Formats: sequence, structure tokens, C-alpha cells
Amino acid sequence: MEGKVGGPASILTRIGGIFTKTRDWVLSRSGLVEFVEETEKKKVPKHALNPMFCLGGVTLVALILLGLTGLFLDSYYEPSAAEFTPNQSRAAHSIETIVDTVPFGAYVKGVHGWSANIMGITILLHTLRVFITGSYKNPREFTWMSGVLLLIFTFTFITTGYVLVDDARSEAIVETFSNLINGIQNLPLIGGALDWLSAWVNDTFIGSSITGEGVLVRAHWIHTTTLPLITVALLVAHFYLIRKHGISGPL
Amino acid sequence: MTEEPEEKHEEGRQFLPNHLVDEVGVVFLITGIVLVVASLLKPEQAGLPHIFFAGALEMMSAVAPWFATVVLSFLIIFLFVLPFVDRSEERHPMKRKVVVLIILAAIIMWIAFTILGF
Ligand code: HEM
Repeated sequence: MEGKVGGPASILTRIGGIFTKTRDWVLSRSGLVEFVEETEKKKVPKHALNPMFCLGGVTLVALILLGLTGLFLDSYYEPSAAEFTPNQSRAAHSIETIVDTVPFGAYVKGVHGWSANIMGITILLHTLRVFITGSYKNPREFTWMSGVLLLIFTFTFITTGYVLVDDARSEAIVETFSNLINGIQNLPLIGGALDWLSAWVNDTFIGSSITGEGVLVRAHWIHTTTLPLITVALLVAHFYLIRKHGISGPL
Repeated sequence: MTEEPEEKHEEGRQFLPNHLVDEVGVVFLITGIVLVVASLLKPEQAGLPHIFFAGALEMMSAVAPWFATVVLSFLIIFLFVLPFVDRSEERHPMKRKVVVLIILAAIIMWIAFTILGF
């Protein structure tokens, strides 16, 4: 519809003009012109519009929410197993403070917890989709392998996150992990030769021979420093590879 | 080096702006769902380790721990090297029966232990 001068349509045209000019300016100054031109040519294949193909994206949304809320939570969290009261550690107490006194603390902690559960579920479903459509095959082997590493590290995130809460559930999880590691020593034939491995993992991450607070300090370090760095690096690789190979064709 | 297999091409949907707008919509929708869920339920309820860990816990107590270690390590290594185990160009699940059966067995085992452990 061609509007009269000063009519609503012409205002829209002008706003549109301002938008286009701003966009062109940002693109030329940031050097992103080629990237956008290339993206403009991209088409999303019909079969990939199926919701099964959006599970990777949902996983990413959950991960971003986890990062943002995690930054907030970590500014209040104290990774210490020392007693605050006889039946509460300083760690558990710092979480109680986040929930009870920090403004929006309970809410942010809720978003962190729920996003973690959602991510755990959607990453499994994403893996299942990729497996069912056979999308790990030539040429996407590296995309799949970076994915498997992301899967391992996501569950390490979830496990260490539960440990940080420092309640009965954390103990159950540490015990399970410890049993799994001890399982190595009891392996038939090779177990005896590997007992240094389970001893080292137990001492470093769980046991008390290296520091008195092994579990919490290590879990906190892994959860907030090591894993985020590794995960971001793997995500960059994952997305670079997806863009390079495109989404796999229909079955 | 093996050649990349030919892939069928079909009419697609323009990425910019139509698809992107929908994607952003979905992102907001999901974020909204998480925010609403989080505001309706208490944070303590967000800890549902049972969903993910009940199976592993149950398995550890049902079988010898070293056996659980072997099974879980096997699954992880199997997933990691899957593209090199299943090297055919067939992508349809019915034409990859062996790997599909292995994964199906793992899923059934996991569900079974989870139900037992709840
Ligand atoms: C943090 C976790 C992850 C994120 C954010 C993520 C994200 C994505 C996204 C956005 C896509 C595009 C297509 C789609 O969404 O289905 C994708 C594709 C892919 N992902 Fe992931 N992913 C993750 C974990 C995994 C895992 C655990 C695996 C496998 C074990 C995996 C293997 C793949 C493969 C092979 C493709 C290419 C699929 C195709 O071309 O059809 N990813 N990923």
C-alpha cells in the first residue's frame, strides 16, 4: 500500500529506511558483510523443519540460561565443607542464604536447576535423533565425536552441580562415583594393575589424604572453571562443523 | 580417503529472515517455559537426580561394581567410535540393525534399572 505523504505507511517506510541504513553501517564497520551475505543465501531444508531437528538448539538455550544464572549463583556460593552449625556446612549455608535472603536468589537458583534438568533430557533426545537419522556418518564423524564429548561433560556438569549442594543427595552421588572408580580395581585380570588409578582418583577428588575438603573444592573448580572452558571450546567446534557440512539430508 | 556421499537436495526455506524469526520465537517460548516453571515450583524440587542417576545407582547395587564400570565404559567408548564401527553409507535405521539393537538394548537396560531404582 502506497501511503500519502505523512501517512502511516510513509512513517513505516522511513523507519524501515533507518533500520536498513543502521544495519548496513554495523555490517560494514564490523566486517560481517560476507558472513551475512552467505547466510542470506542459506536455505533450511524441509525435512530439517521437523521439531526433532531443533533439540540441539533447545539444548543450547538451556546451556545459555545455565551460564547466566550460574554466574549469579557463584558470586554467593562458598565451596567449604567446614561446619557452619553442627549439622550444616558453610556450603549448604551459603545456598540457604541465596534462597532466603538474596533478592531473586530463589528464582535464579530455580531457573538454574530446571534448565539443568531440561538440558539433561534434551541432550539425550538430540543424541537419539542424530543416531536415528544416521547423521554421524561420513562426513560428520567429528561433529558426532565433539557431541559425545559434550554429552560426557554435560553429565559431569550435572553430577558436580549436585555435589555442590552438599546435602544427602550429594553424598549418594559421591558414593556412586566412588564405587564406580573402585570398580576399576576389581576388574578381572587387569584390575590389580590399575589400582593406582582408582586410588589416585579417589584421593584427588574424594578422599581426604590431599586436602580435607577434596570433594567440594574439586567439584566447585571442575563445575565453574574447567567444564565451562572445555564446553565452550567444544561448542565452537560443534557449530563450526555443523555449518561446514550443513545439516544431513533426508533419509 | 573416502569420498563424501552425495546427499539429496530439496527445496528449502529461506533462513533469513523467515526461519530466523521463527527460531527466535521458539527460543523465547522455551525461555518463557523455564522461567514460568521455575517461578511456580520451589528450587529444591529442581533436584531430580533420580531421572538421571537412579538407573546407575540401582545398577551398582544390583551387579558387581566392576561390572557396572565395564558396561558404562563400554557404552561411552562405543558411542565415541560409532562412526568408525558403523561405516556403511546406509542411514536408515532398519538398514543398520546391529548398532540399532545395541543402542536399543542400552536404552532398555537404562529404563529398567531406573524403574527398579525409583
Ligand atoms: C551442549 C550440547 C549440544 C548442543 C548445544 C548441540 C547443538 C546442535 C545443533 C544446534 C545442531 C543442529 C541440528 C539440530 O539441532 O538437530 C546439532 C547437530 C548435530 N549434533 Fe549436536 N549439540 C550438542 C550435543 C551433541 C551430542 C551429545 C551429539 C552426539 C553424541 C551431537 C551430535 C550432533 C551431530 C552429529 C549433528 C549434525 C546432525 C545433522 O547434520 O543432521 N551433538 N547440534
